[in-house]
Amino acid sequence: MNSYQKYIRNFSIIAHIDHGKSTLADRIIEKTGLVSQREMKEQFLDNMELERERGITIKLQTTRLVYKAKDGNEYIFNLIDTPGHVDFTYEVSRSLAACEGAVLVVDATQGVEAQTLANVYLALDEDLEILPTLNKIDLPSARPDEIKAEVEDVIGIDASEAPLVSAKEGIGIEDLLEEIVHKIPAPSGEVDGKLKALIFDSYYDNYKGVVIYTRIFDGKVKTGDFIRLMNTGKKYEVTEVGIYSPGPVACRELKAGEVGYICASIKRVADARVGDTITLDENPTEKPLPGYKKVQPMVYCGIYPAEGEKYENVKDALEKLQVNDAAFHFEPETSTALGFGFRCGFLGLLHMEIIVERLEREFDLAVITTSPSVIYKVVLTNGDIEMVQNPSNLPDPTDIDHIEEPIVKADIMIPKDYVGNIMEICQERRGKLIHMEYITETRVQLHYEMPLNEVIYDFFDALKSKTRGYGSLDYEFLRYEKSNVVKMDVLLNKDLVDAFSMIVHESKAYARGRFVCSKLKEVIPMHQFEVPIQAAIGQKVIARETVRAYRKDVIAKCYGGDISRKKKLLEKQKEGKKRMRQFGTVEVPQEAFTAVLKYDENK
Amino acid sequence: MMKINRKKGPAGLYIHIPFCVKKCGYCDFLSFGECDEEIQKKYAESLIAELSLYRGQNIKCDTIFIGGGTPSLLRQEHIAKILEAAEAAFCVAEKAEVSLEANPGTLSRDKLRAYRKAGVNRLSIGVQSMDDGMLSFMGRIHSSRDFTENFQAAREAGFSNINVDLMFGMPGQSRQMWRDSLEQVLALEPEHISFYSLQLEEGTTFSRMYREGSIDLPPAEEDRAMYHEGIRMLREAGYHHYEISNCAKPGFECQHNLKYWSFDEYYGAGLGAHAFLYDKGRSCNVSDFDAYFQKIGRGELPADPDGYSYETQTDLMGEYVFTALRKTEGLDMEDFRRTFGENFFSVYEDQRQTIRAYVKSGHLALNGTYLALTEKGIDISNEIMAEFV
Repeated sequence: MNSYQKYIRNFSIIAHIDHGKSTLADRIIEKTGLVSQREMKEQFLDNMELERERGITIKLQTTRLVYKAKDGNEYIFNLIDTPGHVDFTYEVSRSLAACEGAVLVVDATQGVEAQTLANVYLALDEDLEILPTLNKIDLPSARPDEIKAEVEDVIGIDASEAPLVSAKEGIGIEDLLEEIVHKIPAPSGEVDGKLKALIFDSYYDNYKGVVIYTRIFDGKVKTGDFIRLMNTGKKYEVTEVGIYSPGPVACRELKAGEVGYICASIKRVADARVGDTITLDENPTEKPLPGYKKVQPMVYCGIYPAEGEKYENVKDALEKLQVNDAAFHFEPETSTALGFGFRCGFLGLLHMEIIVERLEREFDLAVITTSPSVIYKVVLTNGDIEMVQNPSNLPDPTDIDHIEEPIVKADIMIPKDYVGNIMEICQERRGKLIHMEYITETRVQLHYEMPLNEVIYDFFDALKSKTRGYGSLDYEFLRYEKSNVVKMDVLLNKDLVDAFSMIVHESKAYARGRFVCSKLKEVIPMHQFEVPIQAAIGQKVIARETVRAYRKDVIAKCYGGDISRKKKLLEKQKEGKKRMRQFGTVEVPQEAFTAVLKYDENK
Repeated sequence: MMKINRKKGPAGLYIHIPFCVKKCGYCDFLSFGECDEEIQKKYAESLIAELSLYRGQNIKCDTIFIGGGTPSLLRQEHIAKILEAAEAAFCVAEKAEVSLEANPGTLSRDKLRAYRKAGVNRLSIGVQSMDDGMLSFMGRIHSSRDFTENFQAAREAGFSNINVDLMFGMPGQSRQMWRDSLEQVLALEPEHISFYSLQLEEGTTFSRMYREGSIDLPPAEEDRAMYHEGIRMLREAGYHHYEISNCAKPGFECQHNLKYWSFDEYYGAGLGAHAFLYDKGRSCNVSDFDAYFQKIGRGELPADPDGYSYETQTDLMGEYVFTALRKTEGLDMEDFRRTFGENFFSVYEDQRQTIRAYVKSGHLALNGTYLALTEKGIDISNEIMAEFV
């Protein structure tokens, strides 16, 4: 080991959502004096507004801290934050690969959760030293001894010396910092070896191009070097290297064991993929680092400009988002109901929700999203295989031999009192119970195999609702499996609205059809005529509802000088005439598209 | 950009009180039930502060309308102070019409006397129906008898200009029931009667019940028959039908509401209040209490940044037409020309054929420089008005 490496600690903080990871990161930053308390925005590392609001970390943040330990030495801490959601498992695994250790934060009131475990397994896969830490120790309901025992039982690591902290109150942070110094190993690696560096994140900067977050394993890199990204095979000249502390600070070079950033005039984030290995073009290393994979979208939906919104604006915004998000895909598509829009691919539901919310907030756009869909493997009678993620593109039924759908392994952790409820909702969603285990006397983990199609609709909402928020879920793709799925269409006033079409399992079609019709009945406004709502498979109508007519040629009261409503009404009447001439159709409010997806406890 | 050549007359001032004892089943106006005295007091103080922001600008005003909600729910001192603030900030004409909306169940002799003393000279009482069963179904908090007592008390307190609001086309209402209500109100001889056909607004209890099928509405023909019968009865009783939904004894037309239909200027104060000014166009105040209090606290006008409608000359013309057509005298094409500097028929060249057809079918009438809806035309007023927006 080189002498400088002795004083470096590279670590992540891993936790279940809400267990206080970001707050803890804030305290550590504050304690090491990097950012003064006054400058400290709450949850420093969650710098997207959305992240702060939802209390989850989406994009990784990395920062270098200097800690003066009790032994009198100054240590460099590279804190690599990890995204806190199941959709981003791969990104988490790559950030962990950049570390020697991980601080495992467990909520002292709630104990081990499904994602805690999922993250621990990822960390163990990378051979990391795991430092259990109990948070929220200030709460009266904290049960540190029980939870320590739980960590030992469930995870099988020694928790007897786990620091007891309260990130919120700033209790126990010093102890934790000392633990990091003593328990987490210093990095090793040959400074004079061939460059081998891991990309664990990247983002797009308007001035610098793509900024790569990297961990150097061997060798060194400096401005002017020509680097090669081993998996994509592309070559670039380094324009800047530096560290985050917490803003970017350029430095002379990055060397083995260090964490920092590299800029090399790369145009798109997709060209600097997470997990790829950086080496020098002239003197490359023989083998890339293990674990690289190209992340693929698992969930697709249509995104359309809402009424009055411009197609071009949505396109520009999607392009801007894509520059920064290698996992997000989109391409143009058209819907007869919604006009020109985009088919978009996401890692999972949360990823989708985030993109949609960012479109609305950061770009101030009004968009309509259609029912999410997974990717079906359609085997045709002639033996060809088509991958279909848009229900409208499903080939003619007579050409289809069979359809296969993605199955995931879903691990659900719940208090034991809810087992009955949860088994019921899993069963309703075609889940197959693989096994069930008692984590502690009161907590149970259920291992299911479930069609992803069932998970993406409302499973997470149902799980939360049925367990009063105590249930947690982690899932990963397993395999494709032959399945009896059909395309269900929705007709409004006899016209097919393609944006509502969805692929469902045959056994669920009737229930789904009834649900969609009854939801639409609630949100579709009354028209001058009766509006029949029908769900159909092919020509066969499987559910029907009707929106009553409200024929009155109203004489709106223009109250208190507010003529705007009356004007809108008149404009609508005028427009309506036009539209009816063109399509003979029904006015569908935007909320209808989300209403049919929402979990309804009473359904 | 808009261009209004018209000479400014005195403006109107609308003051909104967004409180009610409880929300009625059909109402979607900006009003909140069950608000405590604390917030009412804070609101009244904020209103006073808002009005004071207009001080020193020498704005002439000859109508004030305190509407709601239920303004009569406020303590009388608040009303007096609000009017005081309005008079301190605006140049209010000596003979200005000062209206206040009141609901039976919130009135008392003391309150009525206090309103008179504070300068209110026109009272608008919402009874909506004289059928107690109907009143309770509508979610009103009073009986027909409460109303009659309040009406007489208002007379005793010195109100010689009273409006009564009625509604028709209610679920389960027969023509006879409507006639009875109207007759009983006519017996009290109010100076002004407003009568509105029930509208189902999205989000109200009535709208939900109708969707579910738990209530029905009289068929359209029945609704129209009630309307025309109402007008006949009012005429026979000596009222002048001067606007689609309003009748008055001659000389008692509501001057404030006429400003809305005559393209006159008006200011709005209070939560969600609307305004129309020639140099600023149409705007409205924020409709959220916190935002309202915050802006007032900072000494700003509480205008809603999203409440400004950018309006083209064409927009304004369309508004002029459909508001003017609400008056039975109709739209004065000469005034239109003076206001916009263009001839009515050259602006609405494309509609000329349609207008002619409506005149021929007896839905529109041309009378000198005036174009007006006929009583028959009122039944399809939206269809006709939509031609101009």
